[in-house]
Amino acid sequence: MSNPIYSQIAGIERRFGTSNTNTFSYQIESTIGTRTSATVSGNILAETDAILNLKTGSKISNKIGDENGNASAVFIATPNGANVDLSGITGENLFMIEDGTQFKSSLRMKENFNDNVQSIGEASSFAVQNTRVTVQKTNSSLINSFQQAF
Amino acid sequence: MNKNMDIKNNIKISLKILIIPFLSLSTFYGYSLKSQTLELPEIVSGEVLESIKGSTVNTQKSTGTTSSLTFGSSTRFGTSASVNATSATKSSSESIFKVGNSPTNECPSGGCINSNIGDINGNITAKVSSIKANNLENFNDTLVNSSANKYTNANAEITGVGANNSITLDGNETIFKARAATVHSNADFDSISSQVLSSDAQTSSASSSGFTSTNTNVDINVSDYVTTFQQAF
Repeated sequence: MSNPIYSQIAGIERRFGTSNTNTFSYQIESTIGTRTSATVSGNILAETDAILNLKTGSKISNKIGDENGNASAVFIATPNGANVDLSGITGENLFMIEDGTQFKSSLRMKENFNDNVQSIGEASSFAVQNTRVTVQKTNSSLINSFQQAF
Repeated sequence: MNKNMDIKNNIKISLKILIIPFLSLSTFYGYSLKSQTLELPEIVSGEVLESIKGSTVNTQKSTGTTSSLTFGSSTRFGTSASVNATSATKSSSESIFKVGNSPTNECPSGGCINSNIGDINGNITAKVSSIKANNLENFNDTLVNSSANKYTNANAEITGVGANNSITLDGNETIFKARAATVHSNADFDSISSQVLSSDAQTSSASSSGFTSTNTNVDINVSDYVTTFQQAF
């Protein structure tokens, strides 16, 4: 009587992995400043000047979280739009402008005037203040598998 | 001969042994993710196993949702100037915007820029909706005679976002001056005076202005995505 012979002709190795990621981020941005710009051609000379003086007492107060430190955002998407209810984010930005603040934009012709060319110019000088809140919520899941037959 | 038969029988036995550990698995490509519980695939037959021997398959599936809300207020104030003069013309523009120093009831200085986020309870709501329709036949109980039309309606409701600005001007030093003339003009304008230089059309324009603007913007973005990747070799 012969002993049985066992052999394996093939095998499969499989590995699976999953991961879930949830992120929730808030950002409040407050900026104030000045901008000047000028574009000229031909006989035009441009001059721009922006002076912004802020008075003592100006304040930027942005707060995330209510008295309990909670903040939340609920997004509801529909086929025709989206709704968001946001709570726990408050901000108060007050900028008081001091004496001496002024903005100047000037375009004039050169003294050595060339009367055969067209002259075009644009100039601007202004202050800009932005307050912006950004809320982002991301949910993602990843499934990966590996199979090897041998 | 009998020995060969024994080998074949033993191979069948070994296949069964190999298959048993996978009997509880589900379909390989039909797996699903439910509360972090992964259902593994069903075992394949010996014939299939033999056919895929030596192969490797990688699969990745990624799903998710990204929602974002961006809102705020923007205030600008200042001056702008522009000129456009053809040949044989002259123009100039000057704008000076000077903030005064007279306090008001709303503002203790000559100018205040104030923006607020959140109502008294710290809540903000934003609702943005739009409807697009082609070949609309009725609108608000009114018959639209033509069916070859396009209709778009958009609404935005925002609460809890506000801006309040107060700016006074110094009337003595705030100047807006724009000038334009032909170069043979006798006007005392940059001291340019000459004979007629061209019989072509001559056009010259200049503008100077001061401005204040405040706007509130809201952007809601909601997107879902599914990404799959499979590689076999």
